[in-house]
Parts: sequence; structure tokens; C-alpha cells
Amino acid sequence: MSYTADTIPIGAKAEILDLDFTEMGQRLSELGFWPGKYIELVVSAPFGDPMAFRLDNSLVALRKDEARNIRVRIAASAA
Amino acid sequence: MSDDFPFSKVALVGVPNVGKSTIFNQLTGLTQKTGNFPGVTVDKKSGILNHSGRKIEIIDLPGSYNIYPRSEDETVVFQVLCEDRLPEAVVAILDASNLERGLFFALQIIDLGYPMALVLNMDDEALSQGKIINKVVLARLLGIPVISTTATHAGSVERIKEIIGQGRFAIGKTSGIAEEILGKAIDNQDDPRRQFELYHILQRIKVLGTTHRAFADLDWVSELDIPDIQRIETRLRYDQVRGIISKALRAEKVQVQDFTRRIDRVLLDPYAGFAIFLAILFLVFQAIFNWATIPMEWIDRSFAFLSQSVQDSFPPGALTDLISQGILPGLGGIVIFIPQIALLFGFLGFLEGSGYMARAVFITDRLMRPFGLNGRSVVPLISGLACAIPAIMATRSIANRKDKLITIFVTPFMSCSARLPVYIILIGILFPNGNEGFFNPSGTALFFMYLLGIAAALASAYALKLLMKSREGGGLVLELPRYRLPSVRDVVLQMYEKSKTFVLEAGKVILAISVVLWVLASYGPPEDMEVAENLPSTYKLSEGETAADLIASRKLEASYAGQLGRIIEPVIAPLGYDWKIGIALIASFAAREVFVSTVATLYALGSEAEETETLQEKLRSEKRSDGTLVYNHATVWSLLVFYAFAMQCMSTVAVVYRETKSIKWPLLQTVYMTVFAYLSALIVYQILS
Repeated sequence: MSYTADTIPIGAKAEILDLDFTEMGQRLSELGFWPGKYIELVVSAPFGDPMAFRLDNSLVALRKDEARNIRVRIAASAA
Repeated sequence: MSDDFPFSKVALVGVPNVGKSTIFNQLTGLTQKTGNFPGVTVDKKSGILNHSGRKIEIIDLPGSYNIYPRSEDETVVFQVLCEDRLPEAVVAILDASNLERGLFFALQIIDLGYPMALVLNMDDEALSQGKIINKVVLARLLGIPVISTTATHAGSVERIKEIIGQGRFAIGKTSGIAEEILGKAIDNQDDPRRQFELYHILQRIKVLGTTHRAFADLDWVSELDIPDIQRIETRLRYDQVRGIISKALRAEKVQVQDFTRRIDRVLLDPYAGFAIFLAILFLVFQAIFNWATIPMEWIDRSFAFLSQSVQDSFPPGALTDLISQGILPGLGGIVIFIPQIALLFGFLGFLEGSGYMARAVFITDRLMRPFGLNGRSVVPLISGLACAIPAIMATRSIANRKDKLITIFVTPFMSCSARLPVYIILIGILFPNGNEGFFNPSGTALFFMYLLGIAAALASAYALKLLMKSREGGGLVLELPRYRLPSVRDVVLQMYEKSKTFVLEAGKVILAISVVLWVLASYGPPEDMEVAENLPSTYKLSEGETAADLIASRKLEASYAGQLGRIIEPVIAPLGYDWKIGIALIASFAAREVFVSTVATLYALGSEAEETETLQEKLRSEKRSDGTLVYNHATVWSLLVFYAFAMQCMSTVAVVYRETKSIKWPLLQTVYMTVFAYLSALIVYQILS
């Protein structure tokens, strides 16, 4: 079952499957959002947007519609 | 620089948050200059490194993730490295604990063929995370010298100085990516210089487009599909990065003490985090609104003293007047802003350097978005409640050009501290004894004025969002860096730099305008001025009136500013204003609070008559020739609204000019705000009268 990164619950880890062929998808891939890597949703801002993802060793904030460019598979949940 | 040293211009590059500015500050210190890159609103920071008897220019390029530009900052990096090819060597600075992201960018610059050196910054943090980087292997794989540093340790910057001072740069190994992408079309690929050239052309094609005239001679260019190239290049680059990391990095499993994560649990909490953000904002606001008034008072007094000294010790005449009443107060009007600017940038430097600023952007981004703004706009807008000058200078940190321009455009609507004295006088006319009790009419009216300013700012931002086209993709995509202790040196240098830039660049405009305004208010047609200066011998001074105050009043009325007031009277009559208010409006362009002293002079109370109640009393009883009150409710509300919306601050105009690097924006803004103010005041007056 695959999701987009904006739908994963807080604390969940997910494996990146693919990025959309959009300008934003391209930009995110250059930042290190790369298929095979794991991301974790650490926290969301008030109103659930933007969202802060842990990627490798860093924390990257994305708006919901930016996170939508990342297709993921939920790997493990801390909840 | 008489010897043939080939590396006298060195650029520092790196992704954001790698401690690049700290290194730049340590290399150059007070030799820093802030200049302009043509056509963009990004500062060009450069300085001189003295080493080995050489003077080497260091250029601090803005933080960038990629040579392919997506923001104004990144456009500058592209422009400098690919178009102007300005630097003779490049030092790439990487965060040792995030090698992948740093290498992705550094490898692109190696492929451009620049002589380079690589700095692995914050090596200690990487080690504490169990990451051991083999620098010898890394240097061999890249073909350039690699050193590691800890940004806070003084000894490590010496090693960077040595590398730069002795020119120990090397041209790295080409990745061959350009050849792999463009390969078939090009011949003679064995020459490494040709490889670099090819990569350089590839980057330019991606940015300028395949149809750009620069590539008219290259028939293979038109067949390229740019998004496709971009994807392939990213994939190849990642393969390269991974290959290098697998050989040069050894990661051990260690129990990491993640302080950042623990602090974030509080600071990014939707409730507690937001409350803390508001508290910090309140502190910053207090600082520029209240604390700054103390040094501002000193500056004010010092300049008054200077003016008086000049007036007393030089022979009376036009030149003495020009210096003591025109130029010195003009200079004072510039210097007076320094406390606010320095304080705001002290706070901002601390918040930015600690890593908190990105969090503030994170938690406010959603709130600002409906108005076409983003989280970066919050601090400038709130600071605008104290003073628009430092607030507009703080928009520097907004990477997206459209968001930056919108924020600059609407910030002067926020009710700044200079409006407060005007509001207080006018509201006092409306509600005599209105400030009694907790919910009193005066306090409510004042609160309403502040809301009005905020509403005008947000509404204008929304309108601009719809009107302005953006070439950039926009978006947030923001790294939240690890928390660290800000460097005091960085913060102090920023306070100094910002104040200096303001005085030198915006100061010129402010001085020029204030001298012009002074001339307008002090000189008039000679015959009229002469009449004004000599009171008719039959004139009888009424009680409390002094001859000097009366002459000052008559002279102002006869001056060019007074004439102008009469000329614009037909225009402002529909707002309920007479020509005397017209004079105050003209004088207020210097700064809004000048309204109070101008009106005091006009009604012969002496410009120093800061006795608010005397002035209010006078205004309340002032009558037109037909016996009706000048300052009736409709006129006062109309004036309040006008002062809330009009651009009456030459310093703001000057600083907008400096920040947007164009005459277009301050002009548009002044016209927009003036029209907005005029129409609003017109509606208010016509409804109330």
C-alpha cells in the first residue's frame, strides 16, 4: 500500500518509493529525498501544515502540497 | 597584489546552515563590504583576507543547495559561478555530519572546473554522531584538498586561511556527467578542460533555455529536453555521491544525544511552541519600541546640542542656518534609527544563529499563506509596529522574491511608533477626558487604529498576491538546522554591518530630502517673508502668545511649504482639511510625528510646545472663517485614517529603494499608499460630515 508523504501519521517512518515528475519532485530529489531512503514525520505545525520530516540526519520542513510529491510506503510506527 | 598570485578572488560556497558566515566573518572581520549584485535584492558580501603578505578578496556567496537556481539567492550563485565566472578559486564548505547534501553541491562546482578546496565544518559534531570521514580518501576521490574544522575553534580557521593565502587549490576530477548526458553530440571529449566546458554549457542551457541566442551556434542544443536532463543529472550525481560516501565515510552506531530533538519537542509543539514564539516576538517588539527610545533620546539631544552650538558660534547667515537647521537635523534624522536597527538585528542574528528562526517560520507559515506571505514575513511585519525601517531591512531573509516584495510593500501600513504621537493628539481632540477607566474611548480608538493598519497590510498583501506574477516556484522547503550557540562575533558584526549600510546607502536619500523639506519650510518669496517677519506695530499679543512664536507661525505660513499648502487646499478640501493642515501634511513627509510640531508652530504655540493638552485645546477651538470648527469629528477621523495609511516617511522610501534596488517599488508604494489614504479619508469624511 503506498501513500503520499503528506498523509503519514506523526512519528511514523516511511520508505520513499518515488517522486512525482514535477518541478517540486525534482527539487526534493536534489535535496536528498531519494527512493530507498527513509523519512519520519517528526511534527506538524498548527493546522497540520507545514510538516517537518527527518531525512538522514536533518530536519526538513515541507508544506503539505510539497510533501504530496513524495510517494512512500509506511515502514514502522512509533505510535 | 603585485605578484602573479593566481587566486586573489576566492568565493565561499555551501548549502545553508553549514556555518559559512561564521567562517567568512573570521576570515575577513571588519574589512567586510556589503555591495549589490545587479538586478537582484541579494547583498553581495565581500571582504579582504590578509595572509602571507597578500590581500585576497573573499566573496561570501549566499547559501545554495544547487547550481540550478530556484530562488534569488541561488540565482546569484549561478550568475557568479556560471555567467560572470568571477572567482579564481572556490572554497566549498560542507557540514561534516551531512556529507551527502554538501557533496551534491560541491561536486557540481568541481565539474565547473574551478580550482577548489573543501572544508568539512563541524567535524566534532559528525564524530559525536559516530561518523568518521577519511579525509585522505575523500581528497583522492575528489582530486582537491580537504580539511576539517570546527567553526567555533579558532585554530581551525587558521588552516583555512593558510589554504587560501598560499593558494593551495586544485582542479578536481570531472564526473563525466556532462559527457554522459550530451555525449553523442560533442567530439573531442578526452580533454578534461573540454569536460568542464561542457558541464558549464549544460548548466547554462538549463537556466537560459535551449532557444537562448547564446547557443545559436550549437545545433544540438535545440533537441534537448530540459526536465529530462535535470532528472538524469540528479540520478547520476547521486550515484557519484553515494560511491564517494561509501568509500570515505564510516558510520558507527552510537547512542546519539539528540538535544535538538528534545528542544524541538517543546519549541515545535503546536500550543507551547506557538506561545513561546509569541513571547519572543513580544520581547523583540518591546526592545525596538521601548528600549531603543533611551539611546534615541541621547542622539536627539546630542544633535540638538550640536545645532545650537553651530548656531551660537558661527556668524548668522544662510550657511549657518543650512548647517544648523538643515543638515545637522537631517543627519540626526538618520542616526536616530541606528538603535532600532542594531537592536532588531541583534535579536535576529541571535535567533538566526541559534537555529530558532527556521522554527518561527515553520509554525507561522500556514497563518501567513492566505495573504500571499510566508512564515518569513512575520518578523518584519511585527517589527513594523515599532518602525518600518529596520523591519524592511529584515525582509532580506525572505528568499522568494515575490514574497519579499509583498512584505516590503505592505510593512509601512503597520502602525509604527511615529504615528503614535499623531494618534494621541487627534484622539485627544475627539474624546476630551476620554482616557479614564479601563475600557475608555481613547484606548479603544487607539486599538482600532492599530487594527486598521494590520488590516490594510494584510488586505494589500492579498491584492498583490493576485496581481504579481512569480517566475519562481515558491514553496517553503526549509531546513530546520540543529540548535547551536550563536557566535557573538557574528551577531555583533551583523548589527554593525546593517547600521553601516543604512547610514551610507539610505542615509544619502534621507539627508537630501530633509534638506529640501527644510528649505521649503524656511524660505519663501522674499517679500512675503519680510512681511511675515515684521509684526505690525499695532498688533497686540494675546495672552500666552510670544512675539517669537507668532513670527515663526507667520513665516511658516509665508514659506514655500505654506504656499504649497494653499495650492493643495482644493485637493484636500473634500477630506475636510484646510490649508494649514495641508502644510502639516507636506511637512509630515519627513516623518509622521513632525505633524505635531508643525501644527504647534502654525498655531503660534512654539514648536517646542509639547504640552499636548494646550495643543489639543487650541485645535479643538480653532474655527474656520465661517465660524464652524476646523477639527470637527469628521475631519479628525479623516486625518486619523489618512495618517494610518499614507506613506509619510522619507526614510521608509529611502530604505525601500535600497532594499529593492529600484526606483519603481518605492514610487509605486508611495503612490499606492497615498491614493489609498486619500480615498479612505475621503470616504470617512463624507460619511461623517
